[in-house]
Amino acid sequence: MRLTRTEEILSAAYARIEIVEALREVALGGDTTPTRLRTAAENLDNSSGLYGDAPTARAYQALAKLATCVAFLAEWRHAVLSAGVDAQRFLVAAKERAATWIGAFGAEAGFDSLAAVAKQLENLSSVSEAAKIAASLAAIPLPVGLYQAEGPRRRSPRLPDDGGEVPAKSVELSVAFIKFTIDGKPLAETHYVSPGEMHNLDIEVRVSRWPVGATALILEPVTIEHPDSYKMPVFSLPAPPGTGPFQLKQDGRAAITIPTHFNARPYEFKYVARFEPRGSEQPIETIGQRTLMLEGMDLARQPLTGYEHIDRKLIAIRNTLRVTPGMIQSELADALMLAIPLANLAAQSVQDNVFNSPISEDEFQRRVRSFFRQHPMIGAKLEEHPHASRGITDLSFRGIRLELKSEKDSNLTLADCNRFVPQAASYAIGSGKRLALLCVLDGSPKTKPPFPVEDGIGVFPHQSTETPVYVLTILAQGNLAKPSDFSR
Amino acid sequence: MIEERHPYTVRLIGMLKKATPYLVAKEIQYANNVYVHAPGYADLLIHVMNDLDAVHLCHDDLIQRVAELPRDVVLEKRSEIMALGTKWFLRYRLVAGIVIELLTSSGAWSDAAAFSKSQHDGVEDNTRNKQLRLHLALRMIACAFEAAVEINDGAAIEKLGGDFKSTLAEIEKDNAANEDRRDPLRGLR
Repeated sequence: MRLTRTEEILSAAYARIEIVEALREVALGGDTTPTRLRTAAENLDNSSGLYGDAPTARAYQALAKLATCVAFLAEWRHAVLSAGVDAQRFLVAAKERAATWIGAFGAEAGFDSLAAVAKQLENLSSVSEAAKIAASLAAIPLPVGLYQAEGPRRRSPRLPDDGGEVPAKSVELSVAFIKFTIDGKPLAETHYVSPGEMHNLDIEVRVSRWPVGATALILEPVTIEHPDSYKMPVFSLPAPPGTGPFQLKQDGRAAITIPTHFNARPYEFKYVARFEPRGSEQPIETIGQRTLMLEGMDLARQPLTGYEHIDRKLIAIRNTLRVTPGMIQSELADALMLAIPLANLAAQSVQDNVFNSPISEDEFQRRVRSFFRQHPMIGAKLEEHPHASRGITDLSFRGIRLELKSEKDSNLTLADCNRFVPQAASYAIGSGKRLALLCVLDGSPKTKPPFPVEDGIGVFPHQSTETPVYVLTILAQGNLAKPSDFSR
Repeated sequence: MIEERHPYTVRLIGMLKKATPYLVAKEIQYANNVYVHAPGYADLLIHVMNDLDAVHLCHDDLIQRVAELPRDVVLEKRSEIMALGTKWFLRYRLVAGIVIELLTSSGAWSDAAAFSKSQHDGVEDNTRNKQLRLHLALRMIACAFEAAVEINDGAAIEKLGGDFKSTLAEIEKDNAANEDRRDPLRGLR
């Protein structure tokens, strides 16, 4: 599709009139050199550029080229009539130009009359025919062009380099982090490292290609943590031999120097890649897991329950609940404040068979209440029987409701506790919380060995609408059988 | 026959002639390649170009579509096309210029000369219109010149050549006389 410019450029096309007048002068048979015609042809050829891609431009170019041929004819005629030297060269030039013209314009629509003149010129043999040809050309009307036009926009082809070859598309430069291992174990989503100790941190990356001139690939951590609180390695991988892709490994040492509090978020590090020296091509893409979440709690010096496996389970639950959408962190901290002693009680129950016979729910509540009162962080803050949601809750700490259940007949697993979850959840909802605690004592007679205490700790989501409520559940195993009974 | 090759296009053009013109203008704007060689397309385009809303909304594209009409169609529809040029001359002068280009590139030099003369003569000769009439005179002389070339009228060619030069000189003189008044930065330099 053309685009017509609105500025009128007719006045610049005066050369069209000039060329007709010059042709007519030649046609009248003057034997002077056709300077006027040659100049008019040049002017018209130049003016045609003003029209851009408009059809007028092509027509004016065609006329200008033919007029130049006629100018040579006029020179030939003048040379012949004045016995000039080597007059035929003008005729040869005119004929050759006419042949070229036919090749360039002869097949185009609308140029029939001009093409007929070009053919006459090509077959010219007598000087007397020159005037006739000039007259014929002067009698051909052309389109009146008023506007410049632009042709459709085309995408320009990719030009080859000086070597003549189109450069091959370069391979994307990327660094993919494949694997982090800490002390031989693959990196967990939140990885526990004991603070104050040195750990192995090994890294494995894949590099698509090695940039020209690069001497080493540097992998370094970026973080917002305080510089004194950690020591993380900077990996420097030297340029490998051969062509890429490369799979590179390196070992390092990492340490968390300052432990974190139980309620603090874990340390977070992100590894970035760059090539040395600085001026070399840099990675345009970094792929893969490169964020390290390191839990820096010192469970050896500051244990939670006194039972390491249970501590780890509680930390895992905390990590899960912490990133749950809508979870209020203070609510979670209060719930864990209750859950830690309760988990300790459950562990004591298995270790010392604290609940050695089936007891009522009231008795269980009295003993749990007494246990909590001894805890210095809970003590007087523990409430008993506050009302919530048309019911009476068993125990409560800072609005976190604790529902207690005692089972006397059948053996329970953690999954069996799910039937008590709706009651605990309704207390939480009635208290404006999204988290509640449930502690179930399984006082039924046991015929099997107890299962690990941490397997009796878990979180049940309760969801009746789009907002879930979570019930942190602890199953305490009581009334255990003697281990020696299992050997009989 | 194009009717046989594009029966649906021909039927569609028939339906478009009955539709609201400015909506058709947009259809032509985006899919003119589909219609341009179909019979009845020129009639549809002229029909749309006669609608005030369509021209107001899409004049740039519609004028471009008219400029792309094939030569044989222009010769066949020359009277309607000249009527379009006359109708929109005062509001969209580009239409009249495009009509001159179309007529002269289709071989209708005498029609172009008559059309351009009517344009020139239709503008009242007063001081306000002087500049416009001078430019219209250039168009008129150029068309008359080509018409004279067609019939090989030597006297007319000679006269019109002189007229063109004198008109150009008059335009330059007029521009020089009104240089200050027509300066867009007048008073700011």
